[in-house]
Amino acid sequence: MKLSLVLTSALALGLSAAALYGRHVAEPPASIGGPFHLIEARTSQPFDDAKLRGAPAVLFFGFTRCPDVCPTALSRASRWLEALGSDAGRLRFVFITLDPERDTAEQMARYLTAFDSRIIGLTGARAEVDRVIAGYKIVALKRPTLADGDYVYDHTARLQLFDARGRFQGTLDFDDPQPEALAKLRALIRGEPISGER
Amino acid sequence: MLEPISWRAWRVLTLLTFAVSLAAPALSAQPAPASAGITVRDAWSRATAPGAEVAVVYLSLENPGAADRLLSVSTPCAERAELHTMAMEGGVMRMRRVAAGLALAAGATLRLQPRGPHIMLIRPTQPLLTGGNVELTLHFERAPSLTVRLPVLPIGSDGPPRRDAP
Repeated sequence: MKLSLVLTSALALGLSAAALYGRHVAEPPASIGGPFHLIEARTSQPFDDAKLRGAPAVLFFGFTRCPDVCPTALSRASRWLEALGSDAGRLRFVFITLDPERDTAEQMARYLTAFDSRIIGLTGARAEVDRVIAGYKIVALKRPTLADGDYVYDHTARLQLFDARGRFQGTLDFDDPQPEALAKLRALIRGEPISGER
Repeated sequence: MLEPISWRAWRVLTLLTFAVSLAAPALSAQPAPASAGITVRDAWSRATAPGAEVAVVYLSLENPGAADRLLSVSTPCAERAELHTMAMEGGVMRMRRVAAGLALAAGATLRLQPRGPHIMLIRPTQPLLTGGNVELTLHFERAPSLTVRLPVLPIGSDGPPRRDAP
């Protein structure tokens, strides 16, 4: 009786693990991405997902009131772009705000002057940012910090890599050592598979 | 039907809880020796990008004495300062304001550092520039307050060179 219960539980566990694993492996990379209509911060001109094609792209999601992760990721990205030299011009590096209510185009443009000028800042209507969050499978959870309505965002801090056809290729952690980050970016620029991706 | 707890009983209970919570610290307060002295080490802040409405401060608190608690931080350099925890979980950054402060275990060091707990400065009165300074005062549950003046490092910085580095 006890043994059969144990066996049944083990079988159920095994099946659900297999199902989870199968789903993870089978998930087509193309399922990350999707259409959006945002505004480029510096120019205040429309910027849609079609503009991400034709060159490989690196996407990072955050907000300007982020104390640690966002400014650090953007300054690492600035260092990477510098280290890539002329190759950097073949890459689109995009910072999309998760907090368009506070990150107006003007605010983002001002903020981005601290970083490499090739980093493209995107903001826009809340509904369009929400479309990006859903399409790119980003975690973005608004967390109140004070009763006065102030808040921060819990958010995905990994950078997403896309090839020139807009197909998801993998991710990059801004805390990766620079040689590893550069190896991934160079592979992306050459249209090669990103190593270290599952 | 179960009779819900009456409003009156509820109020009495709430008041009692409140009274106990007020009295508890007084009751539990040991004749604490004057703090053996909390030491602040490796304190630093990071330059802010133009328009940034937040800044961050990291430091280590060495507590050779009994358990204490960093309750709050005040600063003339920002509208206010908050204590936050932060953790990276599966590529997701999660951050919380901690209203109750941060525990300082007896004889231990609490490290506030990048990708971890930190002091967040809300609306700095002026942009923090590399080479500048930030002054702040740390308020503890038991130890006397400590005022520190700390350097502002460049925007991409991960902190001062570690003293234990080779």
